[in-house]
Amino acid sequence: MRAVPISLDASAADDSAAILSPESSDLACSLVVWLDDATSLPLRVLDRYLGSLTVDAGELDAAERGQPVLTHADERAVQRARLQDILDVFVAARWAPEGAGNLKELLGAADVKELAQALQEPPRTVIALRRGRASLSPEQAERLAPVIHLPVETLLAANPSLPEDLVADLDHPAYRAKVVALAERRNVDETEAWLTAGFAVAAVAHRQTEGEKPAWTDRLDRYFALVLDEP
Amino acid sequence: MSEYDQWLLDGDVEAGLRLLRRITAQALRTGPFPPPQGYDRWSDDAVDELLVEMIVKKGGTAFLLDALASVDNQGSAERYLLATVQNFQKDQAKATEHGKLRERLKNVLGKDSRFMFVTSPHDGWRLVDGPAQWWQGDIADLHRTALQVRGVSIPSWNTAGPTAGPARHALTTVAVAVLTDVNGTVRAEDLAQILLERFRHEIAPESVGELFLSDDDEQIGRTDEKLEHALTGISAEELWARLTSEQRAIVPYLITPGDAAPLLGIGPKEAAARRAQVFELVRLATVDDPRADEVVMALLDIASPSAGPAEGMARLSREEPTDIEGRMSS
Repeated sequence: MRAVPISLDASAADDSAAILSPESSDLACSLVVWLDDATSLPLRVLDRYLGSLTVDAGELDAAERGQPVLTHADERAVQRARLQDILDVFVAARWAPEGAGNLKELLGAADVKELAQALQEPPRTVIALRRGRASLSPEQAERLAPVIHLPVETLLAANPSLPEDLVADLDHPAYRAKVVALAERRNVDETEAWLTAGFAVAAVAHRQTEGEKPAWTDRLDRYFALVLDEP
Repeated sequence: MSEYDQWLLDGDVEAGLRLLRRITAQALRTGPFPPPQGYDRWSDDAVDELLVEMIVKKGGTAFLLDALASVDNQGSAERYLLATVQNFQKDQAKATEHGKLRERLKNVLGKDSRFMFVTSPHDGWRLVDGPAQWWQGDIADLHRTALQVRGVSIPSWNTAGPTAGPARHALTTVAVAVLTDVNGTVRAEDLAQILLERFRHEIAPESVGELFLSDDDEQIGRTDEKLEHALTGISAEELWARLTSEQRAIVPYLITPGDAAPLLGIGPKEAAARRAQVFELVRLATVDDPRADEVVMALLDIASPSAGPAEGMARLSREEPTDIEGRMSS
Protein backbone atom coordinates (compact mmCIF):
# COMPACT_ATOMS: atom_id res chain seq x y z
CA MET A 1 0.00 0.00 0.00
CA ARG A 2 1.41 3.36 -1.04
CA ALA A 3 0.96 6.03 1.62
CA VAL A 4 1.89 9.65 2.21
CA PRO A 5 1.87 11.38 5.61
CA ILE A 6 -0.46 14.35 6.05
CA SER A 7 -0.38 16.95 8.82
CA LEU A 8 -2.40 20.08 9.48
CA ASP A 9 0.15 22.69 10.51
CA ALA A 10 0.92 24.63 7.31
CA SER A 11 3.70 26.62 9.01
CA ALA A 12 5.71 23.39 9.49
CA ALA A 13 5.67 22.60 5.74
CA ASP A 14 8.86 22.82 3.71
CA ASP A 15 9.30 22.69 -0.06
CA SER A 16 8.97 18.89 -0.05
CA ALA A 17 5.35 19.23 1.03
CA ALA A 18 2.27 20.41 -0.88
CA ILE A 19 -0.22 22.60 1.00
CA LEU A 20 -3.85 21.92 0.06
CA SER A 21 -6.58 24.45 0.71
CA PRO A 22 -9.45 23.74 3.15
CA GLU A 23 -11.77 23.38 0.14
CA SER A 24 -9.80 20.44 -1.21
CA SER A 25 -11.22 17.90 1.24
CA ASP A 26 -14.15 17.26 3.55
CA LEU A 27 -11.83 17.79 6.51
CA ALA A 28 -12.29 21.54 5.85
CA CYS A 29 -8.82 22.64 6.91
CA SER A 30 -5.44 23.20 5.25
CA LEU A 31 -3.55 19.95 4.71
CA VAL A 32 0.19 19.50 4.44
CA VAL A 33 0.91 16.54 2.15
CA TRP A 34 4.51 15.33 2.57
CA LEU A 35 4.93 14.17 -1.03
CA ASP A 36 8.66 13.45 -0.84
CA ASP A 37 8.09 11.15 2.14
CA ALA A 38 5.59 8.90 0.33
CA THR A 39 6.39 5.27 1.03
CA SER A 40 5.01 1.73 1.03
CA LEU A 41 3.32 0.76 4.28
CA PRO A 42 1.93 -2.58 5.43
CA LEU A 43 -1.85 -2.50 5.94
CA ARG A 44 -1.37 -3.69 9.50
CA VAL A 45 -0.26 -0.25 10.71
CA LEU A 46 -3.53 1.49 9.87
CA ASP A 47 -5.21 1.91 13.23
CA ARG A 48 -8.05 4.34 12.86
CA TYR A 49 -10.18 5.52 9.98
CA LEU A 50 -10.36 9.32 10.09
CA GLY A 51 -12.04 10.11 6.79
CA SER A 52 -11.47 10.04 3.08
CA LEU A 53 -9.62 12.49 0.91
CA THR A 54 -9.86 12.61 -2.85
CA VAL A 55 -7.40 14.91 -4.53
CA ASP A 56 -6.78 15.39 -8.19
CA ALA A 57 -3.16 14.54 -9.02
CA GLY A 58 -2.93 17.74 -11.06
CA GLU A 59 -4.12 19.79 -8.10
CA LEU A 60 -1.45 18.16 -5.95
CA ASP A 61 1.27 18.97 -8.46
CA ALA A 62 0.11 22.58 -8.77
CA ALA A 63 -0.40 23.08 -5.05
CA GLU A 64 1.57 25.65 -3.10
CA ARG A 65 4.71 24.34 -1.39
CA GLY A 66 6.21 25.36 1.93
CA GLN A 67 9.33 27.50 2.20
CA PRO A 68 12.61 25.59 1.74
CA VAL A 69 14.67 24.71 4.78
CA LEU A 70 17.94 26.61 4.28
CA THR A 71 19.76 25.76 7.48
CA HIS A 72 19.99 22.82 9.88
CA ALA A 73 19.13 25.34 12.57
CA ASP A 74 15.56 25.51 11.23
CA GLU A 75 13.21 23.76 13.66
CA ARG A 76 11.20 22.42 10.71
CA ALA A 77 14.12 20.12 9.85
CA VAL A 78 13.75 18.49 13.28
CA GLN A 79 9.99 18.22 12.91
CA ARG A 80 10.28 16.51 9.53
CA ALA A 81 12.95 14.11 10.84
CA ARG A 82 10.56 13.18 13.65
CA LEU A 83 7.84 12.44 11.10
CA GLN A 84 10.25 10.30 9.07
CA ASP A 85 11.23 8.31 12.16
CA ILE A 86 7.57 7.52 12.80
CA LEU A 87 7.14 6.41 9.19
CA ASP A 88 10.19 4.13 9.47
CA VAL A 89 8.61 2.43 12.47
CA PHE A 90 5.46 1.82 10.45
CA VAL A 91 7.39 0.51 7.46
CA ALA A 92 9.25 -2.00 9.65
CA ALA A 93 6.25 -3.10 11.73
CA ARG A 94 5.97 -6.93 11.78
CA TRP A 95 4.11 -9.46 13.86
CA ALA A 96 4.82 -12.60 11.83
CA PRO A 97 8.13 -14.37 12.56
CA GLU A 98 10.62 -14.51 9.71
CA GLY A 99 12.70 -17.40 10.98
CA ALA A 100 14.33 -20.38 9.23
CA GLY A 101 11.89 -22.92 10.66
CA ASN A 102 14.52 -25.28 12.16
CA LEU A 103 13.24 -25.25 15.74
CA LYS A 104 12.67 -29.00 15.40
CA GLU A 105 16.40 -29.63 15.00
CA LEU A 106 17.26 -27.39 17.93
CA LEU A 107 14.65 -28.80 20.29
CA GLY A 108 14.66 -32.38 19.02
CA ALA A 109 17.05 -33.95 21.53
CA ALA A 110 15.67 -32.32 24.68
CA ASP A 111 13.07 -33.79 26.99
CA VAL A 112 9.54 -32.53 26.31
CA LYS A 113 8.56 -32.25 29.96
CA GLU A 114 11.75 -30.43 30.86
CA LEU A 115 11.21 -27.94 28.05
CA ALA A 116 7.57 -27.46 29.01
CA GLN A 117 8.61 -26.75 32.58
CA ALA A 118 11.17 -24.20 31.44
CA LEU A 119 8.63 -22.56 29.17
CA GLN A 120 5.93 -22.66 31.85
CA GLU A 121 3.63 -24.08 29.18
CA PRO A 122 1.86 -27.45 28.74
CA PRO A 123 3.82 -30.20 26.92
CA ARG A 124 1.61 -29.86 23.83
CA THR A 125 3.10 -26.40 23.27
CA VAL A 126 6.55 -27.99 23.03
CA ILE A 127 5.22 -30.51 20.55
CA ALA A 128 3.64 -27.71 18.50
CA LEU A 129 6.96 -25.86 18.54
CA ARG A 130 8.83 -28.94 17.38
CA ARG A 131 6.40 -29.44 14.53
CA GLY A 132 6.67 -25.84 13.37
CA ARG A 133 3.05 -25.16 14.38
CA ALA A 134 3.85 -22.45 16.84
CA SER A 135 6.56 -19.84 17.33
CA LEU A 136 8.64 -18.82 20.32
CA SER A 137 8.00 -15.38 21.75
CA PRO A 138 11.11 -13.41 22.84
CA GLU A 139 10.16 -14.10 26.49
CA GLN A 140 9.83 -17.83 25.85
CA ALA A 141 13.15 -17.87 24.00
CA GLU A 142 14.82 -16.24 27.03
CA ARG A 143 13.42 -18.91 29.35
CA LEU A 144 14.50 -21.70 27.01
CA ALA A 145 18.00 -20.45 26.14
CA PRO A 146 19.75 -21.54 29.39
CA VAL A 147 18.06 -24.94 29.29
CA ILE A 148 19.24 -25.93 25.83
CA HIS A 149 22.41 -23.83 25.91
CA LEU A 150 21.71 -21.71 22.85
CA PRO A 151 21.57 -17.93 22.47
CA VAL A 152 18.13 -16.26 22.44
CA GLU A 153 18.82 -14.87 18.97
CA THR A 154 19.49 -18.35 17.57
CA LEU A 155 16.20 -19.63 18.95
CA LEU A 156 14.20 -16.72 17.57
CA ALA A 157 15.90 -17.07 14.18
CA ALA A 158 14.75 -20.71 14.10
CA ASN A 159 11.06 -19.83 14.41
CA PRO A 160 8.86 -21.11 11.58
CA SER A 161 7.55 -18.56 9.13
CA LEU A 162 3.90 -18.25 8.09
CA PRO A 163 2.72 -18.25 4.46
CA GLU A 164 3.04 -14.70 3.14
CA ASP A 165 -0.48 -14.59 1.71
CA LEU A 166 -1.94 -15.72 5.04
CA VAL A 167 -0.04 -12.91 6.82
CA ALA A 168 -1.31 -10.42 4.23
CA ASP A 169 -4.91 -11.55 4.79
CA LEU A 170 -4.54 -11.30 8.56
CA ASP A 171 -3.22 -7.73 8.13
CA HIS A 172 -6.45 -6.71 6.45
CA PRO A 173 -8.58 -4.41 8.65
CA ALA A 174 -11.51 -6.86 8.59
CA TYR A 175 -9.40 -9.60 10.22
CA ARG A 176 -7.39 -7.14 12.31
CA ALA A 177 -10.64 -6.31 14.12
CA LYS A 178 -11.17 -10.00 14.86
CA VAL A 179 -7.58 -10.35 16.07
CA VAL A 180 -8.20 -7.45 18.48
CA ALA A 181 -11.37 -9.18 19.69
CA LEU A 182 -9.43 -12.41 20.20
CA ALA A 183 -6.72 -10.56 22.16
CA GLU A 184 -9.35 -9.02 24.44
CA ARG A 185 -11.12 -12.31 24.96
CA ARG A 186 -7.93 -14.20 25.88
CA ASN A 187 -6.34 -11.28 27.68
CA VAL A 188 -3.18 -11.41 25.57
CA ASP A 189 -1.53 -8.70 23.52
CA GLU A 190 -2.39 -8.13 19.89
CA THR A 191 0.79 -9.67 18.50
CA GLU A 192 0.23 -12.87 20.46
CA ALA A 193 -3.36 -13.05 19.21
CA TRP A 194 -2.10 -12.56 15.66
CA LEU A 195 0.41 -15.38 16.06
CA THR A 196 -2.16 -17.67 17.68
CA ALA A 197 -4.60 -17.18 14.82
CA GLY A 198 -1.91 -17.44 12.13
CA PHE A 199 -0.39 -20.67 13.39
CA ALA A 200 -3.76 -22.25 14.18
CA VAL A 201 -5.03 -21.65 10.66
CA ALA A 202 -1.73 -22.68 9.06
CA ALA A 203 -1.72 -25.91 11.12
CA VAL A 204 -5.19 -26.88 9.95
CA ALA A 205 -4.20 -26.21 6.35
CA HIS A 206 -1.06 -28.28 6.80
CA ARG A 207 -3.05 -31.27 8.06
CA GLN A 208 -5.34 -31.21 5.04
CA THR A 209 -3.53 -33.28 2.45
CA GLU A 210 -6.42 -34.24 0.19
CA GLY A 211 -9.10 -32.46 -1.81
CA GLU A 212 -9.32 -28.85 -2.96
CA LYS A 213 -7.71 -26.48 -0.49
CA PRO A 214 -9.91 -23.55 0.54
CA ALA A 215 -8.67 -19.94 0.43
CA TRP A 216 -7.03 -18.51 3.56
CA THR A 217 -9.94 -16.12 3.97
CA ASP A 218 -12.39 -19.05 4.17
CA ARG A 219 -10.20 -20.73 6.74
CA LEU A 220 -9.84 -17.49 8.70
CA ASP A 221 -13.61 -16.95 8.67
CA ARG A 222 -14.18 -20.43 10.06
CA TYR A 223 -11.45 -20.05 12.66
CA PHE A 224 -12.68 -16.72 14.01
CA ALA A 225 -16.31 -17.90 13.99
CA LEU A 226 -15.19 -20.77 16.20
CA VAL A 227 -12.95 -18.93 18.63
CA LEU A 228 -15.15 -15.86 18.91
CA ASP A 229 -18.41 -17.85 19.05
CA GLU A 230 -19.69 -16.04 16.01
CA PRO A 231 -22.57 -17.49 13.98
CA MET B 1 -12.75 9.96 32.97
CA SER B 2 -10.02 12.31 31.74
CA GLU B 3 -10.71 15.19 29.37
CA TYR B 4 -8.78 13.26 26.73
CA ASP B 5 -10.98 10.17 27.10
CA GLN B 6 -14.15 12.26 27.00
CA TRP B 7 -12.88 13.99 23.89
CA LEU B 8 -11.74 10.83 22.06
CA LEU B 9 -14.20 8.18 23.20
CA ASP B 10 -17.37 10.25 23.61
CA GLY B 11 -16.59 12.66 20.76
CA ASP B 12 -17.03 15.47 23.28
CA VAL B 13 -15.34 18.41 21.49
CA GLU B 14 -16.26 20.65 24.44
CA ALA B 15 -13.98 18.50 26.61
CA GLY B 16 -11.17 19.08 24.09
CA LEU B 17 -11.80 22.82 24.22
CA ARG B 18 -11.87 22.81 28.03
CA LEU B 19 -8.52 21.05 28.01
CA LEU B 20 -7.16 23.57 25.51
CA ARG B 21 -8.37 26.49 27.66
CA ARG B 22 -6.81 25.05 30.80
CA ILE B 23 -3.49 24.36 29.07
CA THR B 24 -3.51 27.79 27.41
CA ALA B 25 -4.01 29.53 30.74
CA GLN B 26 -1.18 27.48 32.23
CA ALA B 27 1.15 28.23 29.29
CA LEU B 28 0.42 31.94 29.35
CA ARG B 29 0.70 32.41 33.11
CA THR B 30 4.00 30.58 33.37
CA GLY B 31 5.44 31.77 30.03
CA PRO B 32 7.61 34.78 29.18
CA PHE B 33 5.13 36.66 27.01
CA PRO B 34 3.27 39.73 28.28
CA PRO B 35 -0.56 39.83 28.25
CA PRO B 36 -2.35 41.60 25.35
CA GLN B 37 -2.74 45.36 25.35
CA GLY B 38 -5.25 46.53 27.92
CA TYR B 39 -4.45 43.81 30.45
CA ASP B 40 -1.94 44.00 33.26
CA ARG B 41 -1.89 40.23 33.86
CA TRP B 42 -3.05 36.99 32.27
CA SER B 43 -6.61 37.16 33.63
CA ASP B 44 -9.30 34.74 32.40
CA ASP B 45 -10.44 37.41 29.92
CA ALA B 46 -6.88 37.90 28.62
CA VAL B 47 -6.50 34.13 28.17
CA ASP B 48 -9.79 33.93 26.29
CA GLU B 49 -8.81 36.83 24.05
CA LEU B 50 -5.63 35.07 22.97
CA LEU B 51 -7.46 31.75 22.60
CA VAL B 52 -10.09 33.30 20.33
CA GLU B 53 -7.37 34.97 18.27
CA MET B 54 -5.52 31.66 17.94
CA ILE B 55 -8.63 29.78 16.83
CA VAL B 56 -9.51 32.50 14.31
CA LYS B 57 -5.97 32.62 12.87
CA LYS B 58 -5.85 28.85 12.61
CA GLY B 59 -9.09 28.91 10.62
CA GLY B 60 -11.26 27.27 13.29
CA THR B 61 -10.81 24.35 15.63
CA ALA B 62 -9.63 21.89 12.97
CA PHE B 63 -6.16 21.87 14.55
CA LEU B 64 -7.70 19.98 17.45
CA LEU B 65 -8.24 17.05 15.08
CA ASP B 66 -4.51 17.02 14.41
CA ALA B 67 -3.92 17.01 18.16
CA LEU B 68 -6.28 14.07 18.63
CA ALA B 69 -4.57 12.12 15.85
CA SER B 70 -1.11 12.78 17.26
CA VAL B 71 -1.56 11.82 20.92
CA ASP B 72 -2.66 8.73 22.80
CA ASN B 73 -3.35 9.78 26.37
CA GLN B 74 -4.12 12.75 28.62
CA GLY B 75 -0.45 13.54 29.23
CA SER B 76 0.58 13.59 25.58
CA ALA B 77 -2.56 15.61 24.73
CA GLU B 78 -1.54 18.22 27.30
CA ARG B 79 2.02 18.36 25.96
CA TYR B 80 0.79 18.67 22.38
CA LEU B 81 -1.60 21.52 23.17
CA LEU B 82 1.04 23.26 25.26
CA ALA B 83 3.41 23.20 22.28
CA THR B 84 0.61 24.49 20.02
CA VAL B 85 -0.04 27.49 22.25
CA GLN B 86 3.67 28.24 22.66
CA ASN B 87 4.25 28.04 18.91
CA PHE B 88 1.34 30.39 18.29
CA GLN B 89 2.82 32.91 20.72
CA LYS B 90 6.21 32.63 19.02
CA ASP B 91 4.60 33.23 15.61
CA GLN B 92 2.83 36.28 16.99
CA ALA B 93 6.06 37.58 18.46
CA LYS B 94 7.76 37.07 15.10
CA ALA B 95 5.12 39.12 13.27
CA THR B 96 5.65 41.91 15.78
CA GLU B 97 9.42 41.55 15.55
CA HIS B 98 9.33 42.07 11.80
CA GLY B 99 7.59 45.43 12.10
CA LYS B 100 9.86 46.54 14.90
CA LEU B 101 12.97 45.46 13.06
CA ARG B 102 11.98 47.48 9.99
CA GLU B 103 11.74 50.58 12.17
CA ARG B 104 14.97 49.72 13.98
CA LEU B 105 16.84 49.36 10.67
CA LYS B 106 15.94 52.94 9.80
CA ASN B 107 17.91 53.92 12.88
CA VAL B 108 20.75 51.40 12.67
CA LEU B 109 21.40 51.45 8.90
CA GLY B 110 20.23 55.05 8.54
CA LYS B 111 23.04 56.29 10.80
CA ASP B 112 25.66 54.15 9.07
CA SER B 113 27.38 55.87 6.14
CA ARG B 114 27.61 52.62 4.15
CA PHE B 115 23.82 52.38 3.63
CA MET B 116 21.29 54.45 1.71
CA PHE B 117 17.53 54.43 2.36
CA VAL B 118 15.28 54.65 -0.71
CA THR B 119 11.58 55.60 -0.49
CA SER B 120 10.35 55.41 -4.08
CA PRO B 121 8.48 53.53 -5.44
CA HIS B 122 8.63 51.77 -2.05
CA ASP B 123 10.93 51.62 0.97
CA GLY B 124 14.24 49.90 0.32
CA TRP B 125 17.95 49.71 1.16
CA ARG B 126 21.13 49.71 -0.92
CA LEU B 127 24.83 50.28 -0.39
CA VAL B 128 25.90 53.89 -0.96
CA ASP B 129 28.48 52.87 -3.54
CA GLY B 130 26.24 50.22 -5.16
CA PRO B 131 23.93 50.43 -8.17
CA ALA B 132 20.39 51.76 -7.72
CA GLN B 133 18.35 49.22 -9.68
CA TRP B 134 15.82 47.15 -7.75
CA TRP B 135 16.76 43.57 -7.06
CA GLN B 136 14.34 40.96 -8.42
CA GLY B 137 15.70 37.55 -7.57
CA ASP B 138 14.84 34.57 -5.41
CA ILE B 139 14.75 35.64 -1.77
CA ALA B 140 15.98 32.17 -0.77
CA ASP B 141 19.36 33.11 -2.31
CA LEU B 142 19.61 36.10 0.02
CA HIS B 143 18.66 33.97 3.01
CA ARG B 144 21.55 31.66 2.05
CA THR B 145 23.94 34.60 1.79
CA ALA B 146 22.89 35.76 5.26
CA LEU B 147 23.43 32.27 6.67
CA GLN B 148 26.98 32.23 5.32
CA VAL B 149 27.97 35.16 7.51
CA ARG B 150 29.58 33.68 10.61
CA GLY B 151 30.63 35.00 13.97
CA VAL B 152 27.87 37.52 14.43
CA SER B 153 25.08 37.08 16.89
CA ILE B 154 22.45 38.94 18.82
CA PRO B 155 22.96 37.75 22.38
CA SER B 156 19.31 38.01 23.35
CA TRP B 157 16.11 39.77 22.51
CA ASN B 158 15.45 40.84 26.02
CA THR B 159 18.19 43.21 27.06
CA ALA B 160 18.73 46.83 26.23
CA GLY B 161 21.82 49.00 26.34
CA PRO B 162 24.87 46.75 26.72
CA THR B 163 23.87 44.36 23.94
CA ALA B 164 23.07 47.12 21.49
CA GLY B 165 26.64 47.30 20.18
CA PRO B 166 26.98 43.63 19.15
CA ALA B 167 23.40 43.68 17.89
CA ARG B 168 24.12 46.71 15.71
CA HIS B 169 27.31 45.12 14.45
CA ALA B 170 25.53 41.84 13.73
CA LEU B 171 22.72 43.54 11.80
CA THR B 172 25.00 45.77 9.72
CA THR B 173 27.49 42.98 8.95
CA VAL B 174 24.80 40.71 7.57
CA ALA B 175 23.08 43.63 5.78
CA VAL B 176 26.37 44.51 4.01
CA ALA B 177 26.79 40.88 2.90
CA VAL B 178 23.23 40.71 1.59
CA LEU B 179 23.30 44.07 -0.19
CA THR B 180 26.69 43.27 -1.73
CA ASP B 181 25.19 40.06 -3.08
CA VAL B 182 22.10 41.93 -4.30
CA ASN B 183 24.23 44.53 -6.11
CA GLY B 184 21.24 46.88 -6.15
CA THR B 185 18.32 47.92 -3.95
CA VAL B 186 16.26 45.49 -1.91
CA ARG B 187 12.84 46.14 -0.39
CA ALA B 188 12.98 47.15 3.27
CA GLU B 189 10.50 44.45 4.28
CA ASP B 190 12.59 41.78 2.53
CA LEU B 191 15.79 42.89 4.22
CA ALA B 192 14.06 42.89 7.62
CA GLN B 193 12.76 39.39 6.95
CA ILE B 194 16.19 38.12 5.93
CA LEU B 195 17.86 39.58 9.02
CA LEU B 196 15.13 38.25 11.28
CA GLU B 197 15.51 34.74 9.84
CA ARG B 198 19.30 34.88 10.08
CA PHE B 199 19.13 35.37 13.84
CA ARG B 200 15.78 33.72 14.59
CA HIS B 201 17.02 30.17 15.08
CA GLU B 202 19.65 31.06 17.61
CA ILE B 203 17.35 32.82 20.03
CA ALA B 204 15.77 30.51 22.58
CA PRO B 205 12.03 31.16 22.80
CA GLU B 206 12.34 31.12 26.58
CA SER B 207 14.42 34.29 26.41
CA VAL B 208 11.85 36.28 24.47
CA GLY B 209 10.68 39.03 26.71
CA GLU B 210 10.80 42.71 26.19
CA LEU B 211 12.14 42.80 22.66
CA PHE B 212 15.28 44.85 22.32
CA LEU B 213 14.11 45.78 18.86
CA SER B 214 11.55 48.11 20.37
CA ASP B 215 14.18 49.92 22.38
CA ASP B 216 14.46 53.35 20.74
CA ASP B 217 17.30 54.61 22.85
CA GLU B 218 20.13 52.54 21.48
CA GLN B 219 23.61 53.26 22.78
CA ILE B 220 25.54 53.88 19.61
CA GLY B 221 28.78 54.75 21.42
CA ARG B 222 29.18 51.17 22.60
CA THR B 223 29.68 49.79 19.11
CA ASP B 224 33.47 50.00 19.11
CA GLU B 225 34.07 48.55 22.54
CA LYS B 226 31.81 45.63 21.83
CA LEU B 227 33.13 44.98 18.35
CA GLU B 228 35.93 42.70 19.44
CA HIS B 229 33.57 40.54 21.43
CA ALA B 230 31.24 40.14 18.47
CA LEU B 231 34.10 39.30 16.12
CA THR B 232 35.38 36.49 18.27
CA GLY B 233 31.95 34.94 18.49
CA ILE B 234 30.08 34.14 21.63
CA SER B 235 30.99 32.09 24.63
CA ALA B 236 29.63 28.63 25.28
CA GLU B 237 27.69 29.89 28.29
CA GLU B 238 25.96 32.51 26.16
CA LEU B 239 25.05 29.92 23.58
CA TRP B 240 23.93 27.44 26.24
CA ALA B 241 21.64 30.07 27.74
CA ARG B 242 19.87 30.42 24.41
CA LEU B 243 19.32 26.73 23.70
CA THR B 244 15.88 25.24 24.20
CA SER B 245 15.53 22.35 26.63
CA GLU B 246 15.28 20.00 23.62
CA GLN B 247 18.52 21.36 22.15
CA ARG B 248 20.28 21.11 25.51
CA ALA B 249 19.24 17.47 25.83
CA ILE B 250 21.14 16.50 22.68
CA VAL B 251 24.39 18.27 23.66
CA PRO B 252 25.86 15.32 25.67
CA TYR B 253 25.60 13.22 22.49
CA LEU B 254 27.25 15.63 20.07
CA ILE B 255 30.36 13.46 19.86
CA THR B 256 28.70 10.11 20.63
CA PRO B 257 25.86 10.16 18.12
CA GLY B 258 25.04 6.46 18.44
CA ASP B 259 23.81 6.87 22.03
CA ALA B 260 21.44 9.78 21.40
CA ALA B 261 18.41 8.03 19.96
CA PRO B 262 18.12 5.14 22.46
CA LEU B 263 18.97 7.21 25.54
CA LEU B 264 16.68 10.11 24.66
CA GLY B 265 13.92 7.81 23.45
CA ILE B 266 13.72 9.43 20.02
CA GLY B 267 14.21 8.13 16.48
CA PRO B 268 17.61 8.11 14.74
CA LYS B 269 16.62 10.73 12.16
CA GLU B 270 15.34 13.13 14.79
CA ALA B 271 18.52 12.58 16.81
CA ALA B 272 20.63 13.38 13.73
CA ALA B 273 18.55 16.47 12.93
CA ARG B 274 18.79 17.75 16.50
CA ARG B 275 22.58 17.25 16.56
CA ALA B 276 22.90 19.02 13.20
CA GLN B 277 20.76 21.84 14.58
CA VAL B 278 23.06 22.48 17.54
CA PHE B 279 26.20 22.22 15.37
CA GLU B 280 24.69 24.74 12.96
CA LEU B 281 23.81 27.13 15.78
CA VAL B 282 27.45 26.94 16.90
CA ARG B 283 28.69 27.42 13.34
CA LEU B 284 26.53 30.50 12.81
CA ALA B 285 27.68 32.06 16.05
CA THR B 286 31.42 31.50 15.65
CA VAL B 287 33.98 33.01 13.32
CA ASP B 288 35.75 29.82 12.23
CA ASP B 289 35.80 26.08 12.78
CA PRO B 290 38.55 25.97 15.44
CA ARG B 291 36.51 28.45 17.48
CA ALA B 292 33.40 26.34 16.82
CA ASP B 293 35.21 23.24 18.07
CA GLU B 294 36.07 25.01 21.29
CA VAL B 295 32.50 26.10 21.84
CA VAL B 296 31.22 22.57 21.21
CA MET B 297 33.70 21.08 23.70
CA ALA B 298 32.75 23.69 26.27
CA LEU B 299 29.05 22.96 25.70
CA LEU B 300 29.78 19.30 26.42
CA ASP B 301 31.36 20.29 29.72
CA ILE B 302 28.42 22.48 30.64
CA ALA B 303 25.99 19.70 29.79
CA SER B 304 27.93 17.18 31.86
CA PRO B 305 26.18 16.77 35.21
CA SER B 306 29.49 16.36 37.01
CA ALA B 307 30.90 19.70 35.89
CA GLY B 308 29.55 23.19 36.39
CA PRO B 309 30.05 25.78 33.64
CA ALA B 310 33.06 27.37 35.36
CA GLU B 311 34.84 24.07 35.80
CA GLY B 312 33.99 23.12 32.24
CA MET B 313 35.47 26.30 30.84
CA ALA B 314 38.58 25.98 33.01
CA ARG B 315 39.24 22.52 31.61
CA LEU B 316 38.91 23.77 28.06
CA SER B 317 42.19 24.32 26.28
CA ARG B 318 43.42 24.50 22.74
CA GLU B 319 45.47 21.36 23.30
CA GLU B 320 42.37 19.25 23.86
CA PRO B 321 41.91 16.78 21.05
CA THR B 322 39.00 18.01 19.04
CA ASP B 323 37.80 16.64 15.80
CA ILE B 324 34.57 18.47 15.40
CA GLU B 325 35.34 20.03 12.06
CA GLY B 326 34.23 17.05 10.04
CA ARG B 327 31.02 16.80 11.97
CA MET B 328 30.39 20.52 11.65
CA SER B 329 30.44 20.29 7.91
CA SER B 330 28.60 16.98 7.67
